[in-house]
Amino acid sequence: MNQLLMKTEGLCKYFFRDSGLLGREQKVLKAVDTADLEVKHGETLALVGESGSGKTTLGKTMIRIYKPTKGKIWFEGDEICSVEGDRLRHYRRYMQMVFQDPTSALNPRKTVLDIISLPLRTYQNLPRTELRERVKELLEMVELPPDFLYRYPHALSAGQKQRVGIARALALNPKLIVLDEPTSALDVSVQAKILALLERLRREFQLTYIYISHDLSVVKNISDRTAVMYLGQIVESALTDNLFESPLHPYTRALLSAIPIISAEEQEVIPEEITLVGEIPSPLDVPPGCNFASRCQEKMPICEADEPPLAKVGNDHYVWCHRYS
Amino acid sequence: MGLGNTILSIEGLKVHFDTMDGTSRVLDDVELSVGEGEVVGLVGETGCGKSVTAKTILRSLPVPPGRIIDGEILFLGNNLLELSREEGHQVMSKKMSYIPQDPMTSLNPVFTVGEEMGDLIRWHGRRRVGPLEFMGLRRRHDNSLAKAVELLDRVKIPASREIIKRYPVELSGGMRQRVLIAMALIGHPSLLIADEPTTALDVTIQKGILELIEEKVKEEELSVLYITHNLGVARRLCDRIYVMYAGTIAETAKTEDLLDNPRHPYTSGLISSIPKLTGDEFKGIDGRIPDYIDPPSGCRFHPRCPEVMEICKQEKPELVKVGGGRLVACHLFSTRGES
Amino acid sequence: MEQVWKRKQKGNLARAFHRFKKNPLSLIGLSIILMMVLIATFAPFIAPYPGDAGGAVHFKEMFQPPSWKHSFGTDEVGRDVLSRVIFGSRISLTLGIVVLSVAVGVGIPLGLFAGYFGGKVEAIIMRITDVFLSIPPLVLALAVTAVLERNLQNSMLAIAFTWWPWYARLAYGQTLSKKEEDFVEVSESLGASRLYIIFGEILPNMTSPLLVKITLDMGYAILTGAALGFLGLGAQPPTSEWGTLVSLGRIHLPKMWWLSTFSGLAIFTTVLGFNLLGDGLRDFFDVEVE
Ligand SMILES: Nc1ncnc2c1ncn2[C@@H]1O[C@H](COP(=O)(O)OP(=O)(O)O)[C@@H](O)[C@H]1O
Ligand SMILES: Nc1ncnc2c1ncn2[C@@H]1O[C@H](COP(=O)(O)OP(=O)(O)O)[C@@H](O)[C@H]1O
Ligand SMILES: [Mg+2]
Ligand SMILES: [Mg+2]
Repeated sequence: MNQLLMKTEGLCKYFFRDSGLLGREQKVLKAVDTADLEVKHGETLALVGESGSGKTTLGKTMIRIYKPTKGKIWFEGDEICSVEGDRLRHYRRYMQMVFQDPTSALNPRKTVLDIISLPLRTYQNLPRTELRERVKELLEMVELPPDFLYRYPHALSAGQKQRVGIARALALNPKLIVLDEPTSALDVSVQAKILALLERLRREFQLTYIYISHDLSVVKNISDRTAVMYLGQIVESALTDNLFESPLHPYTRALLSAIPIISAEEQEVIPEEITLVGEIPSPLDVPPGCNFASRCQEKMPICEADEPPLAKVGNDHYVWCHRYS
Repeated sequence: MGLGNTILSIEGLKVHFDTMDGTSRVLDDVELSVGEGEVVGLVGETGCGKSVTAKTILRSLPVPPGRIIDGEILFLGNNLLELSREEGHQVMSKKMSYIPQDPMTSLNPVFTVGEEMGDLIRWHGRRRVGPLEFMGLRRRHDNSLAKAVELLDRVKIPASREIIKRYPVELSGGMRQRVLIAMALIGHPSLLIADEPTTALDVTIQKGILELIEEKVKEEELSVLYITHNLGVARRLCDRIYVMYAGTIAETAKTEDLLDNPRHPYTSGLISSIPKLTGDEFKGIDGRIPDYIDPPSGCRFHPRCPEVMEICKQEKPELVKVGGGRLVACHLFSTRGES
Repeated sequence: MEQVWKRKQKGNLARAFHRFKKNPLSLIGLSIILMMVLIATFAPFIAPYPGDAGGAVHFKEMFQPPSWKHSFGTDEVGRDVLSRVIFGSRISLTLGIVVLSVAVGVGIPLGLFAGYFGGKVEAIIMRITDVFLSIPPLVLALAVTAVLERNLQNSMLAIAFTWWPWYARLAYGQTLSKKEEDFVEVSESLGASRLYIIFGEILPNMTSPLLVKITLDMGYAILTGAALGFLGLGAQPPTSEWGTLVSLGRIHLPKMWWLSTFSGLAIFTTVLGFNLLGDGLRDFFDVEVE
């Protein structure tokens, strides 16, 4: 349980945008900047943060859908940051992804059978009947009836589409699944069902999840550890319970205090109100110093000058903030 | 709050859509009222008819394919469905305003914020606009820009003098939403209808917008019909909540009562579906919202209801009083409600 | 709830037909086209004088106005105009099919490659496409036929030559938007081959606009073919080709009106048929095609 499955060190993913006349200038967008993370076997690591904070990019870079710009990734002890070709393909089958937009994730012109069997067809050479049997099994795992085999995505509800996406991610018996806001397009009544399904699958197949979300109430309920991102950087990471009990980074506190809650009991869990001022700066020109400084109510002179150092503030609790160094 | 006069009241509203596949019976006897100074939430899952309700009130329902089959919408004593286009505009333009969901597409991309707001301010000032001015060839020297700046200040937009020169694409989502709120407040409306204005925003930005709306409601003595699918947002803002399911009103009650002690099985299901920070168990509702072309007989919720009875499949439950100013449309209560 | 789904599933085809039926014009278009196809297929059995399609000569019967014996009259060497118009449908339809097969066969893969690979591949393919698009099609076709021998094959080739860039553009635009979709990323991350992704995942997503465009273009291609025939650059006499027939009959207007009129009407009807059907399909699939 406590074995390390994946570890990243100084992982960066930059996007380069041409700008200026004739695209002479190149602007750098640091979508993910020096991310240090550890993912243990069988746990759920949540990545939270507002849209544009780099959660999706980090998830995709960790499982090598994107090629990292810098940094290191270890998967079960093997360094996979720079592997290519067949070696990469070998690792990739153990790392799958479920996408945020269930409609875009499924080819509208393919049947459920074709969609779920794609990983099987690219990795294994199964005869048609076996393929169909295996897909039926997968459908059963995600609690869909077998007669969905020949349906097209447009005949499915959003929740059912997401189940198909999950079945496809499960096809190759992965070890790690990146779940990119899998329920953000769904209604709460359906979300609860999908979350229950994911939890059951995790137990049954000893899966490890990287769960990306902007919904802290969900994260609180399903994750073991949480990393908070802001503008491409991880600002705080801790065991989820610790993080909710004693959030340290001002941004984490602001995020927690902004959760729309539905009962008085919940009120007690969240920290005192913090209202953020201003807007997220453009990721194309982030000011020097701490990324969060422009919106932070507790900023000190040093925050606008130097990047905040990493501070270990307790058991497995890390924060990147000058106040704690 | 909300004990005063009723400002908006909807009775037996039925709206259908003619689609390629047949008649889609979306709204079925919607009943709803908003009191003076009251903030009322309309909550329900995607596709349950919240926006159709708002559009019908605002008379922006596309007809066709939409058809208002039956019902009345009383706003400040006028039945909006009976007024002519002209009269309707007269009543509504000043007294009712609207904050849309999508701040991106609701502002004209070719105008700056100042131009867009200036037009609206002049229009509300009922100043005649000449053709040259209309085409932007001549600018009237008036105080509309100053007024725009003032309005932007009121919605707490920093550097408002800068912002009025910007185009909508140059603003963030939260900023655009603030501009739209400023525009909605121009005519000093009595009723504000907001259709999921924070759904596309991040929570920290959403919080700011909700605080702003809260503040404006107090300052301007607004009544609000606030549409959202998020019960947490409704709790924060609303005095009273209507829960909508599949084009019908399931239940209404004061916010606290509704959340602490839901009566309709759908409301209970919805509340228990929400993951809570206290870590309590949460479970969803089986099934999905029905097809409107061939909606379930009787109570539209019956195929998903954990407490379904025989009568639910046959008879549509009426919205009945259950005490404490609450109304519930459920057969579990329709017998008890009589006493 | 399951019942709702069943109804939807079963209803798909019926629903498609229902939607299609709502537009009576597209049904008229479809009937015209089906009729043309039947006429072309069974021309030898339908035509009253099948022999007249070629170079037969019956001087005794020349220039007869429409009558019971020759419903469309006869031409300058006494051939039955009806029979010639009936056989003309074969040529026009063949021309349409050949031209579009070539245009689709060449243009679509080029557009797919340009859109999917981007970079140099895109630059080269799309610049060539632009060059072709900047020359009016008829002028380009005239130039091609001016160089090559004047016959039906070459006129088809010439038209196809001017037609593929439109398909390249269609496929290019569609590919650009489709390749951003997550399902393409899934196939890529699984290491599916590029050819599979292009032809197996992306291509099927453009069938609706493609079908609409092909239908509309059939009409235009036939019209262009007839225009080349009219200018004497297409099928050569004595072959029965509509454009050629109109052109040959033209010198006898207005007295011997039946020579040009009926072949002209045939062109008109066919083009109209494809257009009506194309418009209907466009509404049906709800796609935009330039
Ligand atoms: N393929 C891409 N090319 C260029 N920029 C990108 C790309 N993907 C993401 N970005 C940028 O990287 C930043 C982080 O994006 P993303 O990872 O999608 O954030 P999140 O998932 O947290 O919303 C954003 O500013 C976004 O515009
Ligand atoms: N213009 C329209 N034509 C046909 N059906 C419509 C139209 N607008 C809305 N509907 C239908 O009405 C139902 C309710 O939609 P809406 O009010 O937008 O839901 P929501 O509660 O999410 O705002 C949906 O099932 C939708 O398909
Ligand atoms: Mg994302
Ligand atoms: Mg809506």
